[in-house]
Amino acid sequence: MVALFKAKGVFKIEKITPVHVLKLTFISIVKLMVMIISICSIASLPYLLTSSKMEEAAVGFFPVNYVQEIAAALIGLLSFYDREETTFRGVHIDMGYMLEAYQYSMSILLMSLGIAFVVVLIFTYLYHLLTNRMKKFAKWILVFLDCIPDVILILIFQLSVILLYKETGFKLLKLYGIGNDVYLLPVICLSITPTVLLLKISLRIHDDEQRKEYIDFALSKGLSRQYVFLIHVLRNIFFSITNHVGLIYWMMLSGLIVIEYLFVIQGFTMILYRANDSSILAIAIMLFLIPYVLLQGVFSQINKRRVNDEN
Amino acid sequence: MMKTNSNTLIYSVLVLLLLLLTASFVYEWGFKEGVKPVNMKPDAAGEMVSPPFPPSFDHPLGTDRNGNDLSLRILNGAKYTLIFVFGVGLLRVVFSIFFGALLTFTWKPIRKLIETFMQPYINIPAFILVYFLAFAFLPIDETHGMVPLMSFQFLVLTLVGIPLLMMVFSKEFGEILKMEYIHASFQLGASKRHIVLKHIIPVLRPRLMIVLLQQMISALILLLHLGVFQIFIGGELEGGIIGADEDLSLSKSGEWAGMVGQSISDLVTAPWIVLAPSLAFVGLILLLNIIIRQVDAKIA
Repeated sequence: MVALFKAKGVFKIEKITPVHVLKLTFISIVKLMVMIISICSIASLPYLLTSSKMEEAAVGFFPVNYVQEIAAALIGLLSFYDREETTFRGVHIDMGYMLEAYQYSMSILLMSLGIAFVVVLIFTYLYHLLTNRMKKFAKWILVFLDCIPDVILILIFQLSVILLYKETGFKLLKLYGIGNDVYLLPVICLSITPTVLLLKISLRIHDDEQRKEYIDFALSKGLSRQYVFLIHVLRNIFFSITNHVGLIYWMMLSGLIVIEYLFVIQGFTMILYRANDSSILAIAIMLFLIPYVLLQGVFSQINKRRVNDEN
Repeated sequence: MMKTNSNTLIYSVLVLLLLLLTASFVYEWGFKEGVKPVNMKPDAAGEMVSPPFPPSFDHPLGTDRNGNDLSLRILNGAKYTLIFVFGVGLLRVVFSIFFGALLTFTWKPIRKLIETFMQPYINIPAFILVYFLAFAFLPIDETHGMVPLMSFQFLVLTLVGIPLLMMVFSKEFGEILKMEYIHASFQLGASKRHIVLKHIIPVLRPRLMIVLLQQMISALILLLHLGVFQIFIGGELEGGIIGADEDLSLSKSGEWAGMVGQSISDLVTAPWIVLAPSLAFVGLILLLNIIIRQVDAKIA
């Protein structure tokens, strides 16, 4: 058992010296710097192809200009708080606006993520109750659903809400985000794609898990099937699907951009495709990556503590 | 028994795609001139109505606002979509193998630095990267025309997918390099090029097919996202719709993502204009997924 812990690196047996700590801090600072430069290089990408910030600038290949813009973006980051506000395309951008939009967009994203996880766990439970033939059928439905791109799902969803309204006069959900914030429809739309993907992964893990020895052991101990599934299998499935949170977040981010565009929501992703100031873009990209890093960190910590025979 | 079965399925899907491609070219060179849009047509009550017509016996998928048959338009767009997506997927895989191999053999601190630098590029949606470069599409279209624009878009879409795939390959290469036969080969004096070409790529070969197909699907989805934002492959035509209030932009090449993107405003009034190309999209992705599943089952 101890050997296993050692191998997993849970217990750090080696002595931690100040030199070690210094080295680690140095490495992480260098990493952080490289990340920031990289983010600025993404934010300055438009200037790779245009000669200046003017409207009618020439289009071509301008590497020198690009490097200059990256440096400018870095300097802009340092003095970002001094900036009063920026205006682009009629929208005032200041720190307050950004934070408000960020809060809104992120709450949509995280709510959808949470809903996706809950729905996946419930569906996995329902799947567990099905007969073998039904299980195969459910998998085929899932394969088909997986083939529908998120944009098309959103469009179909939008269409059906409108048709429902037209047919019955029943206003199920508020569609567009002009004025005050709408939550329900964007959240539902955004959670469809990750649910399908997670469900696919989760059902595969479920089938693998059923063949494992601990199930037989628990059953022979006299525990009921339901108990074993709810307490042991479901927990294992949950932790296994959290491994994929990075991929899911990435998919949801591109989904969020499309949803905010289609539902005319003045959210945070709008900054990404409307702003032309590279330091604002850099900040926006950073803010987008922060929840990802946090989620990744939290789940990898949780997974580290578990002792399992996977991998 | 199982093996032949899966092979026939793969080949029949491939033949189907090839047939679609041929039909698309045959239509372009053979029949396209002869097909005229339907302008006016009597409805059930005998009154003349103008397009768009809903799906009917004459037009299985309906017509667009100009009276063009949607199934023929989809057939016409198939060649652009298929060739573009296949090209992007193929080039992504080839370049990623090349750069991945370079990265694997780089000195470790430099490699770590490059990997850290790549991290934001991987975690930001590819759509954003394309969007940042997309403003240049319009001027290129105006000054140089459609073919240079399409090549440039092709290049951008290819480049955008490379960082992620390159890291994946580099990781795989690193795993394979730990194998004992690789050590043995190095001891016998093999060069790095020899190792990559003779020892690593053959190991990965069965999986390369899957990676290629997955890249094609990801390129398709990226195209669709761009289509929603009115960025079309091959540029746009201004005001191509008869009777439209505002001058909407139309996709010039007529590939499917553009067909979806340009008609999103028709979603409520004439949903079939959006849903028909969407159906084609879903069908294509379904076919690609079937091949992926079969190849996957064969490897495992």
